[in-house]
Order: sequence, then structure tokens, then C-alpha cells
Amino acid sequence: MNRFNLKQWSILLVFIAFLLSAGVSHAADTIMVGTWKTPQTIQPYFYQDFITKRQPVEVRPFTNPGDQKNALLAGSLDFTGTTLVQAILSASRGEPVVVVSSLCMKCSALVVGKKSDIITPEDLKGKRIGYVPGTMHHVLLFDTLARAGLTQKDVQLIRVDFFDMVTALSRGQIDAFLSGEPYPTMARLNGTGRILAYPYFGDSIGTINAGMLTTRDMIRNYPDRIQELVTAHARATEFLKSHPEDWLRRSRSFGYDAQGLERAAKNIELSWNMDEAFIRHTKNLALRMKELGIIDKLPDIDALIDTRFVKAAQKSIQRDENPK
Amino acid sequence: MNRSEQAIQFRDVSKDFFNGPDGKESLSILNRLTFSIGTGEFVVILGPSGCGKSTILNILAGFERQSSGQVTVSGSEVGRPSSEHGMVFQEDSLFPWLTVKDNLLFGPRCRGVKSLPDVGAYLELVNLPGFEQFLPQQLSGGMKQRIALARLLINHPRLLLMDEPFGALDAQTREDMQELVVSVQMKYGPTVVFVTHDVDEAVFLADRILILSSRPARLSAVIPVPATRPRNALWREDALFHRTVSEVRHALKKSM
Amino acid sequence: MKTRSKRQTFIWAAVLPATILFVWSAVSVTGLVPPYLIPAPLDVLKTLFLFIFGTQADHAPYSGTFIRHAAASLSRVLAGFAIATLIGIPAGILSGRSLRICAVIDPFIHLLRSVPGIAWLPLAMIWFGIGNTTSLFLIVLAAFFPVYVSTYQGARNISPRWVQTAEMLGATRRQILMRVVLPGAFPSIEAGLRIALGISWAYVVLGELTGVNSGLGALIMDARMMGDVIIVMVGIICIALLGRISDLLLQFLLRRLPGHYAGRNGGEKIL
Repeated sequence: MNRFNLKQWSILLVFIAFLLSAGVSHAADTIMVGTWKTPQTIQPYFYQDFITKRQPVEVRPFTNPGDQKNALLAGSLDFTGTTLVQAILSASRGEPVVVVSSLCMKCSALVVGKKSDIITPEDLKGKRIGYVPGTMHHVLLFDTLARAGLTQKDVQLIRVDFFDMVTALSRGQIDAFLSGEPYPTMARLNGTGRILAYPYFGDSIGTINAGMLTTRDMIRNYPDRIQELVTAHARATEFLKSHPEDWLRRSRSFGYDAQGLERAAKNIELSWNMDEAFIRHTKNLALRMKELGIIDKLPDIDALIDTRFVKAAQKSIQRDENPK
Repeated sequence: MNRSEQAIQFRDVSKDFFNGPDGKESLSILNRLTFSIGTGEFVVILGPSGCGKSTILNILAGFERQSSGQVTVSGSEVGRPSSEHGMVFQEDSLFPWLTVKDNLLFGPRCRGVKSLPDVGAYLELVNLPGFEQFLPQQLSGGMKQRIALARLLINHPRLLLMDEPFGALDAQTREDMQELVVSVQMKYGPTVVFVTHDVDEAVFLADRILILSSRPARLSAVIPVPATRPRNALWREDALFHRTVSEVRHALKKSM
Repeated sequence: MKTRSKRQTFIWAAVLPATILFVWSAVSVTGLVPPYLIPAPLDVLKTLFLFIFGTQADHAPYSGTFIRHAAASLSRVLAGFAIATLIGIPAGILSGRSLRICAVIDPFIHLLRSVPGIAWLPLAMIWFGIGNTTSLFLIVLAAFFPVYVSTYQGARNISPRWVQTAEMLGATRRQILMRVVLPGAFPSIEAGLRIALGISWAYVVLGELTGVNSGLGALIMDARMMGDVIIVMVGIICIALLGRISDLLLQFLLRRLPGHYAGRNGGEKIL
């Protein structure tokens, strides 16, 4: 048997590495969807059951919405969950993103230590507050502070990953946090936290939270695929709303405790449609973000939101319900 | 000097090294070696290369132990290395991170000597006055050996061991160093055991020359050197010097 | 003659960065790549300038906060590096000179060394929660290994003649370790320290991923979540500069240490 010399070995190795990496990348027509592993952003995990054409759907989980949006823009994802705050941030920078459906409403809560001396939002002055930048909860926190007459400088903001917030609160490393469910409920259940407020303020921002995002290029080049996805999303949402046991079972598989989920469910609302109120609230959100100094330029919300896909999905849902 | 007191005694000393992959092969270096050296004597050990001359010095210094037999210095067994037995190696052993002055004061400082000796005096002794602040890397081979010698002398060792210390130097420097060693020994009076393979050097320096056979080494011959002290460069021109050199050479050939 | 070569060195060193800057500007000016992927170099420089020298009056959200963030990261790096050094050097020296100690600690250390720092992050979060302790833990863990390995190698490879000489001059075992092994191993230790400092900078970013509100790593994470690619680049540039400056400072300090020498074969011979 001939022995390879160094040069031949290197070429062989490079070739093998190339083959392996090519093999790992997905087949051309697998649809890549991004979301994060919480009970209120769970619909993408059910798309495969509702997508009509026989196309494989692969769901990639992330831990923060910023990464999801970046993956979308880089082309690794076709379709992804996002917070409306991220969508607005992105649009204000001129990034070519489009919101094509909503994902969930409500879900936020402001939690403080159970035994702490914080009774009203004004008491947050000088306290350490955990938050995740670029989320709905981020803006709601700032909004809550502003309404209590406080600014960013009056408190100590600490960026903490969602899943670390409850532990950080129980160890006293933070005094409060504003995040999405089920963490507020978990803090309440394990006795370390108490809900100070649900930060929904009437008609200005309402209860909007998250939506599904894609790029202009995707819409221009693959409108059918986007429609497929939005319709599947709508159907999945309706299914989960009418079958809470399936929703619970899937959520538990992420590692969440059943009791916590059931209690948190009251503050969670899965959604898909984008009505008049939704668009108005999103516009108000953008205005509020500009007032709070989170964005410089006000983006064109009408250009950001594209409702034709949900409108078509609405018709499909109605046909599902009245199959005459 | 009182020669009746035996400073060093080797009695039936053997030394074996274990070699080979599993340490089974044994190499006999010294074979029942017996000799003695008087206090203040200058003895040169001569022999073919690899015959175990360095091993004798290592045992005296305390770096190695004999496999069997008895080795005593001033009546007691050799223990750990100490400042009583100083050794000058063939290679450079100065601490490169210390100046000449700090190299010299290393011994006294380690031993906690309260008032440090005057470095200048010892530098004068080895003919390098004013070199306190130099670093070893700035010195030539001969200078480094002189500093090494001064570094030992500052501790007043009773036994001075020298393992082919001038082997790496050129002929002229070597002769200068030989004259230095002789004068130092006159001044401080340690017992000196000097190893070399250079016959001229041996005859110049020694009171007695011990000739070893090749491995395993036994004492092959003992040749006294008929010259008085103090010795200087003139000794090399003496007819007696040359006669002794021939005698030693002859004995060396016989020992192989 | 010396000044001229210094200038020449500088010019050669500037070739790569200048080329990159040129290509970068060309790409962004022609609009080949959209600005949210590769922002214009001028924007990055402007933000960098404001970051360091700006005040609150300037509109940019991070202007003037450089001192605060740099100081936070710097203090973590220095603390972590110092602790890693204080543990790593004695461990390396003892391990390099004592077969018994080596047999006990060396295999375990090398086992740990195979685990990359990022794998320790979840454990650190569980044990220490958010905050400085986690950062420090990760930095010390990562920086320890190069210090230990280089010290160990240096201690093992010192000339046996030096040890024998020291014994003969009357040094005790402890004195030999402190006065011969430590300075003798110094060139090797020095190399390890420089690597460890670089690693400390890399791991400070890891340690600032979550749970701290100031620091260059925290800044980059914030910017990542807010989609601000310019600030991400500014953060990276600042870390690169501070890392390089701290390395130069370390070299400068090490050269001033009493035990420093140019290595066994370095230096000019005068005579």
C-alpha cells in the first residue's frame, strides 16, 4: 500500500472536511424557522402538522430575539419569531424586514422580591433591575419607569438572561425584573417573588408583544412559501388555543413545570392576526420608543407590517370552520 | 599543613550504574577503589576519558552515593552537598540572572551570614577587579570560570573539587588559570581534588597524581610530584617537570 | 540608524490595517454590502470617538461611557490574571521540581484543561449567579493553564548544574526553589504570562455575557441584542487596543523585574 506524503494527506483532509460540511447543511427546500423556547412562542413547533405541501420544516431555537433577526438577515432562516420592539429597531435602521403575522400578546409582568420594600413603581428608584434588551419587556420597563417619573439613570439596569432571572432574584442579586412568562409566575410560585404590575397601559400600546418576521426578498421571491407559513401559523395557533392540553404537553417538554405553566396561562395569549388595533398599537409603540430614546428615526410602520398574508389566512381559517 | 590527618578516605569503593531499557544492564564504573588524601593536599586524578573520574568527584560532593565501600571526609561519611565541598564544573554554572557581585554573594546570603564579605577582595584574588556589576553573558569563558572559583572561595570550603574546569579554554588562558588555582590554594589552604586528562596540567598543579585504569576504575599508580611550593610559571620549564611528565605518561599508557 | 528602523517597522505594521481599511471603505461606499451588515468605517470611527471622548449631550446612547466600561473590564482582567498567576506559578514550580507533587496534580490539571471555558459558564452561573464572581471564576480558570504549563516547563528545564551549584553554596531546598528555580524558569514563565493575559481578555467577554451592567463585553452583548452592529465593532476595537496596550505594559514591567535576563544565550559579549 502506498503511503501518502504530507501534501496528499492535507488535500484529502480538506476534501473530507468539505464533504462533511456540505452534508450537514440542509436540503434546498427545507424551510428554516426560528423561535425561542417559551410557551408563548411555541407555534412554529407545530407548523409541520399544518403545512399543506409536503415540505420539511426545521425549527431552530434561539435564546434572544436579536440573534433570530440577525440569522434571518444572514439568510439562515426563512421565517422567524421576533418581538415587535426588535422589528421596530430593525426597521428604523433601514433593514429590509417585514412583520407578516402576530405571535403572542400580553405575557409580561414586573416582578419584585417578595420581602422587598418595593410597593409602587416609584420605589424602584436606585434598585437593580434585570432586563433583556430589545424585547417588549425592555420597552415596557422603561415605560413603567417613565410613568413613575424615573429615568434609566435612576435605576441600575442589569442585563440578565431570561432563564437566570428567577435565580438572581432569589439570591438577592437583583431587586426586580420585567420579563415574559412563565418566569414571573415561577418566581411567585417558589415564594421568592411578587408581581408588582402587569404593564399594559390601556389603548396606547395595548397588549402587543411578538410577531413573525421575514425579509422583503423572501416575500418578493417566495410569496407562496410565506403564505404557506402564515396559514400554517394561523392554523397552529387556533389548534393550540382550542387544545390547551397539547399546548401544555409541548411546553413541558421545554423543561417548564406543569403547575407554573397552568398558572402562567392566564397571562399568555397566543395570536396570529393583525387587526386595526394591532397596527395602531404598533405605531404607538414606535412613537414611545422614539420618546424614550431607544430609536433615533421613526420607521414607516405601514411599510413594516404586511397584512395580506394574514388576510388570506383568515379566509382559509373560515373555510376550515365552515367546510361547506 | 598537617598531612597526617586524612582528609579524604576511599575504601573499597565501587559504583555501578544501571542502564538499558529496564535498568537491568549494570555498568561498573568504580571497582573497589581505595586511596586517601591528606588535609591541604593538592591531588590530581588522571585517567582515560569515561573512566569514572567525575564520579569520584560527584561522590565527594554529595551528588551521588557509592554502591558499596566507604567514603569519609574528615572522618565522617559524606552527606548532602554543602558549602564545605565546593565544585567547579567544566561548563559555565554562573547564575545568568545575577550580576557578578550577586553571584558571589549567593552562598553567604543563603546561609544567612550577618555581615557580608567584601566582594572586591575576592575579585582581586581572581584578577577581575571592578567587575561587580557585570552580567555573566558579558564575560568570556575564562572570566566566568574565575568568577565561579571566587564564588566558591567566598564560602571558605575545606574541600575544593574541580572537574576538568579549564577544558573549554584556550592554552594561554588555561595556563593563567592553573597559576591562579595554585596561588589560591596557597592562600586559603583547602584540600583540592582536581580531575583532568591533561598530563602537563596535572604535573604543574599536583602534589600527588592518582592514575586510574580504564573502566571499571582501579587505582593504577600514584606518582608524587617532586616540586616545592609556591609554584609558578617557571616550574613548567624545569627539567624535573619534563621528567615527571614522561613518567606520568608512561604510567598512563600502562593503565589502559 | 535606530530611529529609522523604528519608523520602518511602523510602516510595515501599518500595511495590513491600511489595506483592510481601504477595502472596507470601498465596499461600503459602493453599497456592495448593506450598512446593517458592514457599516461605513467613518460611522464606526465617529461612534468610537464619541464613545471615548463624548459627553451626555451628544445624541449617541453610549457616548462618554468608555471610561466606565473599560475600567470595569480592565479591573476584571487584572484581578483574574493576578489570581491565576498567584496560583499558577507556585503550582508549576512545585510540580516541575517534585515528581510526587507532579504525579498528584498534573494529570488532573490537564484533564481540566481540555474543557473550554465556555462550557464552565452554566456551572459558574449556578454556583455564583450573576455578577463579578462568575467573570472572575471564568478568567482565572482559563488563564491558569498557560501560566501553570509554562512555569512547569521552565522549572523542569533549568540547568541541573544551577541546582547542584546552589546546593554546594549552602542553599536549602526552599531557597533553591525561590532563588534558583524561579528566576531560572523566568523566560518560560514570561511567555506563559503573556499568553495568559491575552486569554484573560478573551474570557472577560465571556464572563460579561450576562448579569453585569458595565464592561466592554457587556457592551457588545447589549449591542448584539439591540442589533447595533456599529457598537459591536467599537467594542471589539476597544478590546483589541486595550488588550495590546496591557500586553505591552506587561512586557515593560517584566523587563524591570530584578530576575529578568535575556535568556541563557542572549545579550552581547563585551570581552
